[in-house]
Amino acid sequence: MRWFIYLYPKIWRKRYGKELEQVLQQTGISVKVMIDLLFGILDAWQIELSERKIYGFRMDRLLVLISLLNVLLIVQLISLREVIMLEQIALIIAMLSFFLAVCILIVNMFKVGIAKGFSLNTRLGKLSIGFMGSYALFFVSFLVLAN
Amino acid sequence: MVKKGKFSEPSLLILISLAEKSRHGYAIMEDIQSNYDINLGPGTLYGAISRLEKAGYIRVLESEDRKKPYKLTKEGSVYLTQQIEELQKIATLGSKRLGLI
Repeated sequence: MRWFIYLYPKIWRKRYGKELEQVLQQTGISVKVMIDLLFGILDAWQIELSERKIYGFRMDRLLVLISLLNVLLIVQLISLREVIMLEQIALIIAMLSFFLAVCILIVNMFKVGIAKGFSLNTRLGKLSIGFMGSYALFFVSFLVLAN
Repeated sequence: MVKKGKFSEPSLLILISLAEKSRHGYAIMEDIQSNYDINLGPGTLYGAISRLEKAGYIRVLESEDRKKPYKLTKEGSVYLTQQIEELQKIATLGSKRLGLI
């Protein structure tokens, strides 16, 4: 039940997390409540991203722009029959992510100890998991493109 | 001409609930459920609460308890009055056209 609250943006979670947890304890969890929470999470992120700015540009608009550019690039490369190049790029990024994830994990283990190094409580631990996620994502992309 | 409101139905129901007295999250849900037979989900409830608080229409009251009560502000009261007046205009027009009044 609690991990649903962790999906909300950090600022939102700090302000309403405990209250929402309290309400969830009283309502109990059902499929309907889970769907409602997922919509709530999307809504909270939409508000969060529309309020964050990078160099004066709204972050949600920047993300949409970057996504559109990515789609344009992929469509362009596919039409040029350069899927092999995309395959290689995906594999390189996947391997690089894996390498960085392992390096950060080792550094973290030296810094905070072996047992704590595997936990998600440290910033380096979170970063390592992030790179692992990137590795998984790009490796799946590579497999899809290769087939 | 009837103006389109900025907030959705759950937000209005929350404001109406708080117009009676200050309530915490679960009490608002119970009030809405008993009066309108609408089951407001926790995600929808806190989504609406965060928007209303950001707009300055409600504010949280300090409490030792984990359940924090919310109170309708003066701005919230003015906004709710405007919204109810708009809804009354719609209801009157609808009733007239149906020949109910």
